Amino acid sequence: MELIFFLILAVIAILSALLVIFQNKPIYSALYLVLCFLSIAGLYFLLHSEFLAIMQIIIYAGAIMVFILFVIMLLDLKGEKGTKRLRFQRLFSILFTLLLLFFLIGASAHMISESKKMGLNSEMLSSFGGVKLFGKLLFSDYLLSFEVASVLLLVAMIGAVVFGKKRP
Amino acid sequence: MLDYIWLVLFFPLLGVVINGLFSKFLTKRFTDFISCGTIGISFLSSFLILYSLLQLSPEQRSFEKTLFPWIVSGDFKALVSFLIDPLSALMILVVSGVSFIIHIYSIGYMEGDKGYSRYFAYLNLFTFSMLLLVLSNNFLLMYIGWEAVGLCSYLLIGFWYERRSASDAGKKAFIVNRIGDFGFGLGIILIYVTFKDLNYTFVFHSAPEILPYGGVTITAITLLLFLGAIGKSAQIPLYVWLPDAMEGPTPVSALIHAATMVTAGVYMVARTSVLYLMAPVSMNAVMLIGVLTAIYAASIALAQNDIKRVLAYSTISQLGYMFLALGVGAFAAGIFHLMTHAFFKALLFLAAGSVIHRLGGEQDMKKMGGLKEYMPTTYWTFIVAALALAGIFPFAGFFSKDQILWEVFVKRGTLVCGIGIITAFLTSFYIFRLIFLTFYGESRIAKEKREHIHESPNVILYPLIILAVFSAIAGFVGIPLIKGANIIGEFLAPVFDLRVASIHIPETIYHSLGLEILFMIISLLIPIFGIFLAFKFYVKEPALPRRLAERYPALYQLLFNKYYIDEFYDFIIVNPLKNTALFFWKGFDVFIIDGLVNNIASFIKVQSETYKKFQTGYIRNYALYMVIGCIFIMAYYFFR
Amino acid sequence: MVPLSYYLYLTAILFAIGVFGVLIKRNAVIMIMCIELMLNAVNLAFVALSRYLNLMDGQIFVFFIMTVAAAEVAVGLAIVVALFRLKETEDVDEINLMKW
Repeated sequence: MELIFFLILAVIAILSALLVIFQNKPIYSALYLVLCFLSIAGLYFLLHSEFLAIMQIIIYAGAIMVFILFVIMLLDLKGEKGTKRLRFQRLFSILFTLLLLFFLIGASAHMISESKKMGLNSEMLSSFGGVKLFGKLLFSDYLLSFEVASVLLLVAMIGAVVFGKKRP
Repeated sequence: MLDYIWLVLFFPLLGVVINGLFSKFLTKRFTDFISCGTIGISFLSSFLILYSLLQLSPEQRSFEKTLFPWIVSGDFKALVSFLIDPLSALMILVVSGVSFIIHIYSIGYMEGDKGYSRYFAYLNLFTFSMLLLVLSNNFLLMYIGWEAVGLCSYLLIGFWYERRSASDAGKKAFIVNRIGDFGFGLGIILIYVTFKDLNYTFVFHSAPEILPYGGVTITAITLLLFLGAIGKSAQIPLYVWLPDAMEGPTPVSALIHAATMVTAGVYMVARTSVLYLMAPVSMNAVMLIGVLTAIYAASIALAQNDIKRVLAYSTISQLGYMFLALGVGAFAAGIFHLMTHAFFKALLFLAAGSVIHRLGGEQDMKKMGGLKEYMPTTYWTFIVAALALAGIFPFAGFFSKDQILWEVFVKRGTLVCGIGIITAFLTSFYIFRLIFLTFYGESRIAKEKREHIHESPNVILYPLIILAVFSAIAGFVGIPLIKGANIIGEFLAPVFDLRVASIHIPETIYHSLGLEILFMIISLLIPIFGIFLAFKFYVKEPALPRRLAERYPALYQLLFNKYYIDEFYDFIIVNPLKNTALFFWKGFDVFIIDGLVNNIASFIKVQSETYKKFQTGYIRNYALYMVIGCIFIMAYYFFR
Repeated sequence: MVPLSYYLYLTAILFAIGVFGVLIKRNAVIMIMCIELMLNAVNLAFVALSRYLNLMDGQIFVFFIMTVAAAEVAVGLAIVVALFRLKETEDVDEINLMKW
């Protein structure tokens, strides 16, 4: 049962990711990316990580993609012009991407075959993936990272404002 | 007075400084005054030194005076100090005296020359160096004087440096000299290594004690020192620079290449007589080279046409005589001949200079003749000098040359002495050939010059006359008294008398007085015969020499071209050296080293031009490079 | 249960697609979107592994990745906007002054 859900969500994710690339107009790409994010959120749900799934939808599909759509509409980006530049870029990109894919898959297969931890632990932490457990860990073991992340967000805000200002 | 020996050296040096540095502000009169005056004071001081020396008894006539320590370094000490003994007193007298006369002569000869004050500065410097050489009491100071006279010789030979031949001759003199100096330097080093000191007195006293008679060390030392003498005194095989040195002004030839510098080698061997007496191999070498050089140079002089070249080869030949004397152990005779030779050879050169000057620079005897009527004083002084050179009684050369030949005969036998006598014959022949060609017969002088011929000014004539007087009477200090000794021999005896029992003196075979007188008569008749033969060849039948040259063309060519030695040296030594240097320059330095450096640079340039193409400026390319790098890293871990 | 390997393969594919998109597209904004895609693939890997190892730490890390991604997109798009103001183009190939 779970497998079927997984397959459906996986196919949707891959297809929408491919469609992100092979579109002429950026706005369509953005929309397909939203779809991709949502399917990934679904996969999170499948993995008992509710909190992260919701976070994914709120932050990625909600904040980031809206931001990107704003920018696309603001700059009134047209499609790509057809001028051909870098000669071998396309060829080499395909080549090396396939190579990368090969290595990644190989690496994961290798890792899995090495480790004995296959299958699912029938024993699960209670409320695995829930907010309560999440918050407990976040504010005890990873408190420093949390604080630093807030500073990072502040810096990013300042940076965005600085860059976005209209220079006289 | 002996304490003031430094005066002899100081004044010529002062003359150099004043004339050399301040010549622009001085009048010609002042330059003359300074240069001649300083040498004059030197000469006067030399006289006073001699006088003071004579006040002392013969055993005490050795005085050392130290001016100041020069190098003090650990165990090594080099002092600037002088030795006054009969030998050095005689030498400074000869050097300063002849130098003074030649300075006066130069006032007339170099009149109007562009480098007038430079000339006198060099001349003063040379006198200073020569005096330093003969006065020093250790080998290091002598070496300084030795090198300095070589330098002055170079400067003065190439005095008219704008002439290519003159500057070439200067270089040749210095380089050939240097070869000899190399041996000399090695000899001095060997002395230091053996004796740990360079002071004459110390070395001469220790030598008989610490070195074996005829041993390798002492032979090596003396041979190396003699190598220096070969270079400086123009013996075989390093004589080739002296004929070319005639490119310099004639007074220079008179002073340096007749009277003083070339005699430095003779002086040095005489000074180190103790060492030579301990090494019979070296003595033989000295004698052999001396006698061979004497006859060799005399034979070349027979066929030369340049008046100064004849005199140059004559100098080489006479120096051979001096070394012949030293080589058989007759040191006093050798020095005696040095003294008389200084007078008459300087006179010969100065008189020849008078002729050349009057003829506007003409030196080829084939273009002279019949000058007897036009230049009588020059002619008569020339005759006196020639008689002295040929060894005719009662002129100076007779006594000195006869003494040498007698000593050789007594100590070495007939063969060597015979070569010496043949050389005496050749000597008188070529010098009177010179006189007859220059002063007698039909005038072959170019028409334009004939109007200007008259006698030289007094400033030139007086030195000639003074030297002529000396050439005439100087021999009398060497007249053998009945007992077999003579004034000069006795005077110099203490210097050569540092005998310790173990030194061997070549055996003196006692011959009777009658044999000695007979020998004297023979050695007088041979040169007279030479004069008559020359007279016949060049005055009575002028065509005779040419017929002889046509009958034996090969022999004539050989003599005329100086046995082709210069060409031989060029072939064997000079050209291979030049080609090696050329190879190392073109082949090695330019091609390999410059090529290496340049090619490395251009290689790097080409490489960088290739690799800079990676920086395209396109972000997507850079992203691609990142992916490639990432793949490489993964591959590495994957395939490990 | 869905085997872990399936999740990892999915991650690999999504990541490769993201890389391809970055290399092949000329539009700056779309490049940024592809970068987000790559980040998401990695997030998926983390979450899957945390599930199968029964550790919460993976999820914490994903939380932080999301934070950083948000910040990065903000600054990145600000740069794109500034660039657009200067050059009137969003084509990254036009920005090539740093070549040799």
